Amino acid sequence: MRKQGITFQWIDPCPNERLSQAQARLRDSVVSLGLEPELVPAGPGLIKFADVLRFARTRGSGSSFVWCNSDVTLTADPFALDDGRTVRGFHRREVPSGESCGGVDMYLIPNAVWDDVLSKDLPDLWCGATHIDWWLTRAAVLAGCYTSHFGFIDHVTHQESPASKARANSYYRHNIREYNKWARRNGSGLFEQRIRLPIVGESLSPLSDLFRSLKTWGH
Amino acid sequence: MGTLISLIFLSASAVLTAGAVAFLIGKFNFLVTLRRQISTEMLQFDFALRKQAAELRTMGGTFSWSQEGCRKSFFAALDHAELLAHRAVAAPLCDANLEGLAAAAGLVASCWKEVAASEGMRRTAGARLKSNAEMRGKISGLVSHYGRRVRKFPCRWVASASGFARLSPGNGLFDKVNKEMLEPV
Repeated sequence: MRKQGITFQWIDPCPNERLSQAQARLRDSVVSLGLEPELVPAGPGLIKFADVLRFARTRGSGSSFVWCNSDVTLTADPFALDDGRTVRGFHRREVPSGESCGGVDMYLIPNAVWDDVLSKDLPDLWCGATHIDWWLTRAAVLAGCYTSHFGFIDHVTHQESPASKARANSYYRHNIREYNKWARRNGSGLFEQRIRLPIVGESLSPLSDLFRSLKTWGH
Repeated sequence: MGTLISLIFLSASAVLTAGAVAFLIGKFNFLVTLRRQISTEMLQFDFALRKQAAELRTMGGTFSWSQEGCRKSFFAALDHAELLAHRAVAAPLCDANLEGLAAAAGLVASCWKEVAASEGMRRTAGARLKSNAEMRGKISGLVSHYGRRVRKFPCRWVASASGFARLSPGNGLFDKVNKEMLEPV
């Protein structure tokens, strides 16, 4: 019988040594749990999350499939929780601090939920950039089939990538736009953004700032 | 002379229009910032409740329950709390979601009280309940602030034009938990 697979991107050539070591550790941890690493071939550039999930779905051998980020380590078998109905999101534990992270870095997705719900409206998100977990978690919650779990993946803390947090990054902006489009279509919460003005920038209230400055001069 | 006056008039109009637009965008940014703060606090509270639900499930699994019904209702309450908290942060920001989060917090609180009574976990339960109350208080404060500002001109116009759902918090929104929502489904 074919082993259950854990899908993640295999980045080659790797842009840095940290990621290179991290993905090798992930592969080893998957094998040590008696599971099969399902590698999505990728280069240094980002690829679309929908393609990664489609790949995972086609490679899955059971009633569910699992995707995770490439820089986590598996510490327990997520398929142990599989009930064929519920999408399960896994929060990572940071190493060495031991803190649980708010973001979700691994999902177990039942084939039925993927085929009937999730695959019907896939936002065009870059894997590795921001908000992919916002979409997947919210889509499953809106379908009424989501639970979250702790203690299945570890992650060695590192500096955040620009695509996950930097507002100037094109991947970040793309993902926010695409997530919001999906959220509007599906009645989910938007990620609200401020408006940038030329010269003034992002001042909360340019005239209030001016009055405040005048007041300061007065004193 | 006429041309000069027209030029001055046009320049003044342009400056005033630009100022007014900047002012309104400034107010929009203010509201967005406040809403983002509320959302962020809600997400953190949702995350805290999820962690506590996981913690309580582990504790509940080791209990020697006197009645099977109690065990079932304990786990059902946790599942329902997680569902409510998830829905509260997945949907657009509005009063109903805040109430959902409050109901989730109520359910988790009732589970903590149960754990504290039967397993001598008073200190942990007390600390979690205190931290939950602080988070609820913070969200309540932000929501009250938003509610006050959004009722006044020009934020009222900006909120209406930008399609923001109005948050009308009232006093102690998070203390008014709908009893029906506390019943596990």
